[in-house]
Amino acid sequence: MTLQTFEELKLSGNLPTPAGVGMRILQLTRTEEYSAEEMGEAIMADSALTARVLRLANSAARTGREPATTVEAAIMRLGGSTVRDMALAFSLVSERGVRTCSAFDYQLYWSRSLARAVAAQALSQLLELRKPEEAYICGLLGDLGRLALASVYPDHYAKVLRACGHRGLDELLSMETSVFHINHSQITGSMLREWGLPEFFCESVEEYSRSQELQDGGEQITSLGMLLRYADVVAETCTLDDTASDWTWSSLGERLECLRATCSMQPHALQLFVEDCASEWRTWGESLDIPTSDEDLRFSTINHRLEEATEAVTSGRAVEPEAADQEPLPEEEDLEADEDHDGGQGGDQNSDIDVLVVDDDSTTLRLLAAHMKRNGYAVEMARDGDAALKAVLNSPPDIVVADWQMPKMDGLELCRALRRSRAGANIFFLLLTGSSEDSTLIEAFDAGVDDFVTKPFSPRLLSARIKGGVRLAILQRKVEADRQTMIKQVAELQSLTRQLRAAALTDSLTELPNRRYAMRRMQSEWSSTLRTKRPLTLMMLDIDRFKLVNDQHGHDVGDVVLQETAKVLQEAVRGSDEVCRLGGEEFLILARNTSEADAMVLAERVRAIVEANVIEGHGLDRAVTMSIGVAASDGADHPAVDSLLKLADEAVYLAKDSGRNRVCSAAELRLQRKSA
Amino acid sequence: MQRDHRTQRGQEAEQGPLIDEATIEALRELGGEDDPGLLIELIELFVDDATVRMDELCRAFDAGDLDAVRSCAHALKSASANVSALTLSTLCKEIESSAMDQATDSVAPLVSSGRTTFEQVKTALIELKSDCSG
Repeated sequence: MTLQTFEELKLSGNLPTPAGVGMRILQLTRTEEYSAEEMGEAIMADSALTARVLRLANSAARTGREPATTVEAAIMRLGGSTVRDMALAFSLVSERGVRTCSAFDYQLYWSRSLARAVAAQALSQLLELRKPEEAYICGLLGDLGRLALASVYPDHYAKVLRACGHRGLDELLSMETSVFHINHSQITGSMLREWGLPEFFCESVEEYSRSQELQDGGEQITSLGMLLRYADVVAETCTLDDTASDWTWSSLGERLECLRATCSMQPHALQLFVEDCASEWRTWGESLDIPTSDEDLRFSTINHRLEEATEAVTSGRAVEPEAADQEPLPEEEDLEADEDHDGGQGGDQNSDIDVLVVDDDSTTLRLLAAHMKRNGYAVEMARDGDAALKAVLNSPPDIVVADWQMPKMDGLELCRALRRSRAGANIFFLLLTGSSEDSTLIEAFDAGVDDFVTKPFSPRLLSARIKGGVRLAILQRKVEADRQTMIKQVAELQSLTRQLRAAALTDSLTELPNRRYAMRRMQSEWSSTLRTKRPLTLMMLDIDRFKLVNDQHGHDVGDVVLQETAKVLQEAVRGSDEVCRLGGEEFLILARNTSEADAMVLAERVRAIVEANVIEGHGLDRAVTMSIGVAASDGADHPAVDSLLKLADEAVYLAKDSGRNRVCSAAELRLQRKSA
Repeated sequence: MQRDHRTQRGQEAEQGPLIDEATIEALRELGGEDDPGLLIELIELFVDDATVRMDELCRAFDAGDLDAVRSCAHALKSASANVSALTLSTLCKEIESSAMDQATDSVAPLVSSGRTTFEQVKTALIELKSDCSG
């Protein structure tokens, strides 16, 4: 049900989407056949985006590291997928479309999202929970569903927001569900999923946004979703208006205290933490063009307001907030994506038919409107072409009746402008004209007019011609409804294909990419190597005496060993490396832009980490070891990547032959062959 | 209902009626019960707009700007037809076509006649309006 509702939202075409480069990155990374280099190029095409990605890559300063100065370097450090997610998130921020929901504060939305992102990043560093960049991205996008509802249903969502007032998140979520059959928390998750962001992100933002409840003080934060809730407390502190009610301030005070206790901070440390976040938030705000506060946040002033509010609440002076007003919730029956009247089913009732009449002469305009009303149509009026165009774009009617001669934009210009727009391309256009000469009429039909009536008009003729238009408008609606159904089916099919494709490329036991994926990625990285002459390293890894584990402990323990090893390998490699399971006890690591010498250091590290990792329980209680073969090439000495893979494979055998639990390189292989 | 414009119609007999009764009746009917103020509103809109337009037309004519004369006459032509002032509408049509031909000599008497006719129409409509509301 939820998924279906989300698909419907998508069809409105009004969901926020990443702009420009973001879209390109999204398309590029939909399939697995892209190289990190291609993505880096896509990002670098946008200099502002590049600056923001680098800023984020460097802001979670890891000690003793030179700052990354190129997108390439950021990808090396953080991994292609993190950089991709950053770029997507930022391109979404720059896409700030039309703001039409009257009760939704768009500036505050982005301002608070940014504050949450910055605070999440800082908390993630402080608590050493997940990567700070991940926390930042999830923080920035954590409430996206709210923006989505405001974009797709501006009018209905405004009513929901007004009806909800300050009654809190739980109430808002349940109102959303009752009106839209989906709430903003579910939408946020679905949107991130739609863009192929990691499932972990989707689950975290869902966990964050479905409640505001914090943990009991003293308990450690163990999930990113919970971390985001705490980050939002900091964000609220940054963005809360001084004039907000005592009740709101006092509740913020409690939440801040909870944050302090959970992170075991001294009061002073909490204040410094919040002030640091706020100053980071302002700097980021300038970079992303998001309004923040005018001056640095001083905790002392907030403290004063907090104390005042707490006192007011405890003494009973402050009243609990109720709904701002008793505006009724919109009925679900009239729920159609707002501003989008062409998706509905065609009815026979004339009141379903919207007619826009356009004339600069007020008597004619009034008379036309009276005739249309008399025929039972819903009528809008406009005094000139400009106003008519705005009215159509705002809410497209079924039929436009317009005078030819008008100042500013005349009837023909209006018609041409409408035919160029998406909203106006299919509207039935009836022109009022003083002349019925052939040449004049031909000019009118050339401009895209559907029919005409000469002035002074005969009411009966006008009605008859409008009826013709109504017939076409109803047909048009049916065609449009069919088209929407088709788009919907295609979208469902695409989503299914995507899931199947992902399943086909993943090893179900270890959840690592499988052999098919590995071979494809290897080919695309190899093409990149041939272009750039930057070395690609293939590392083959094989668990030593794995058959023994299976024989002595059974296959289920063997499976545990494979899963554990997969996990350890993923943690041991760098962000830009990719670990795949080729089958059996055999793994492959793709290390791009890595020379054989660097790869040997990496391989040795991986070997040592595996050896040190005791697999507990399951009657095993020991570590396994791995033999590793390393082969690197910049493309000069290998015509095809297959021969490089063969070399890595042979190096593994050399490692096995030389006593297992060791690393051998292709160079050693050559040396050994010479001496043999 | 008293119809004072009958006498005026007699004066302009050769040019057709000053205000066409059948059309007025049709407009009254168009408003019907849903929109009873329609006729009055149309008359008010017309009187206000057309007064401005007619002034504009005369000024343009005095200034010798026949293009502006033509454009005002065009607007007055359809507006007056709306309220069934057919004589005025016909006159405006003639002004429009003469102005288009840049025939200043033939425009002059038409403009003066148009002005007079407009004043008569205006008086008749205002009376009609007070009949309606009275």
